[in-house]
Amino acid sequence: MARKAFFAALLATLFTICGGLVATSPAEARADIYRYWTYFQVTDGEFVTSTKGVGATVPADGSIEAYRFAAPADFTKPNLPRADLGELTFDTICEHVDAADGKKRVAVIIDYGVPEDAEGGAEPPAPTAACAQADEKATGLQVLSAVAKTRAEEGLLCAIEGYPAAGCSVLVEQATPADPADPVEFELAGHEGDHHEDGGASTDASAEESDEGSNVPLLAAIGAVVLAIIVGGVLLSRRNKTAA
Amino acid sequence: MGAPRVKRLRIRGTYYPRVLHPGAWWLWALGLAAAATRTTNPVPLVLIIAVTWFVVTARRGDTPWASSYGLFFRLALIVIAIHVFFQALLSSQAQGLAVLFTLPEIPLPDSTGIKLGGAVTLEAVLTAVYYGLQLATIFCCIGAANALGSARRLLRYVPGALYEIGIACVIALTFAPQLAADAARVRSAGRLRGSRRGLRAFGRLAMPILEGSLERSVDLAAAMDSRGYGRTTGESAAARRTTAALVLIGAFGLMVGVYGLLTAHSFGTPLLLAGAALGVAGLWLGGRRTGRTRYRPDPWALPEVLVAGSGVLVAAAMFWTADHSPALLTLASPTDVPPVPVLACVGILAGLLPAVLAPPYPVSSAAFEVAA
Repeated sequence: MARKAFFAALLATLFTICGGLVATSPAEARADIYRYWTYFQVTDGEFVTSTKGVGATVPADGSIEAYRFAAPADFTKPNLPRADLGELTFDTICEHVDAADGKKRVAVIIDYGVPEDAEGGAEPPAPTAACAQADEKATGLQVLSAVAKTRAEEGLLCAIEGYPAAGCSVLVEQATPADPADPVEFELAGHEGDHHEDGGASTDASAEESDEGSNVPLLAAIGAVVLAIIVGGVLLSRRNKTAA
Repeated sequence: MGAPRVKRLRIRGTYYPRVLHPGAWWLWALGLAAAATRTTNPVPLVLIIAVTWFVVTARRGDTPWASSYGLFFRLALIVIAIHVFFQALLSSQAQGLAVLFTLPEIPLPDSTGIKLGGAVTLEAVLTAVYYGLQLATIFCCIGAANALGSARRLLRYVPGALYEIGIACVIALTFAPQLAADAARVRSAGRLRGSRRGLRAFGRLAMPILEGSLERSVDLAAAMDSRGYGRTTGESAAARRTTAALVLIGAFGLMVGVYGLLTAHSFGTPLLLAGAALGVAGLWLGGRRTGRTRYRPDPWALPEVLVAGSGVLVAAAMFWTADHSPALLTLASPTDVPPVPVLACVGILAGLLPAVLAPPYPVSSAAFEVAA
């Protein structure tokens, strides 16, 4: 009798587990929401989601590429860059950059998204537009790298200018809210001062240099520690050999 | 030189030479490996590799598996080389702007979406090296665990319900080197008879090896049987079935739970816990079946706690850094000068402590004679 009761309990457990699976699945049936950089090309004055990865496209001279960081509820209808394409044209972005021989000019629009998508609700970097000058055969990733720091993983774009700081296309709970109709002001890089050529990189380069200056002693210290560990290990193994 | 050293270590009380519990070494190594999974920054990764190597040098014994660290280290180098070959030299997807050299391009139709060859850039090479380095670091951690706490000793601690499987694994591990020696013997015998290399020669090689190992297995089985191995205490068929059902359902729950946890579904955690509870219950029930005690179990004393604790400390420091300043652990661009996560690095250096805290490996009797 006790055995029968035990088996009944066992079966009940099994059913609970399976039932729990079935019961939770409809609630989970909505597609998982990922937060990532969506990659667009501008054709006929509209943002069109790219069908290829950022490392697989070769943007044409005079085209516009756009990036938006968001967690769209429906990945077939991603949040678009909040730019007014009537104002932000190739000519307005690239007017200060002269075409060089054997190079192409591509306008790059980068929208870092809204605070809802930032880690801990922090204010994301201001949206920018910059003119990239790259080799004629340069891929979308190489064009983007010409104006911003990029972190990519096997052809997937993970971060622009170190935003987000970690992770690559992570699963999130909350989708990005629908964007308001009126566009956001985009900062045009390389339009003040005489630094035409290096686009938006000029301010970042100086910041990076100061970073490096403070970093090198620490790196040297770590290098010394690693060296000390290796020398210590070699000495130790020698002593052990002679001792044994 | 050897004699005074042994004497000094004996005087120190708790730190007389003895074999540390293999579980402590595995916990320490898993802590380091878990830390490595959270970063692609080469600074902490190289530091972790240096730490594992130093501790292995300081505390390994003269056992055959103690040299396995070198094997894993070579494997780690191969991993990095494969990463660089496939992701930097062959792929055009991850290329950046700083061209190092240009490989001849193999023309493929555009529709394949694949491009072979072309310009190889610093960004792609560095990205491949960093990701390869992460995997290589994990390899080194596993290698260190293998060299310090042998897998064979660890198998003694499988739960009683899995006793038969554990025994089978131990036997397989013990006989694997003999099999290799057998193969070498048969091959040199064949070469003396003038047989050639090739597929046919392989068939001629396989037969005697198979025969030899089968013979040895039958001998061993008879010897073990006569010593009472494989004996089970009296138990009903129903109880056995219950155990099997519990373990199976528990494993199923664990599997679905892990899936739920990885895909961030809400049913993940409760199912994982329920599956673990069922599995533990099944293993405990099954453990009662094999009524045997453990022969000379390794103690779990202060050194074990300290060694395992230092591994946990490494992982904790890295996870804290990953939570609070993730920018230190992931490079914004592969060509950036890697930042130094100071706290994580200090944590990793705590992983060096077992080189001092763990008791030294006992010197084998032959070495004692030389020392005396």
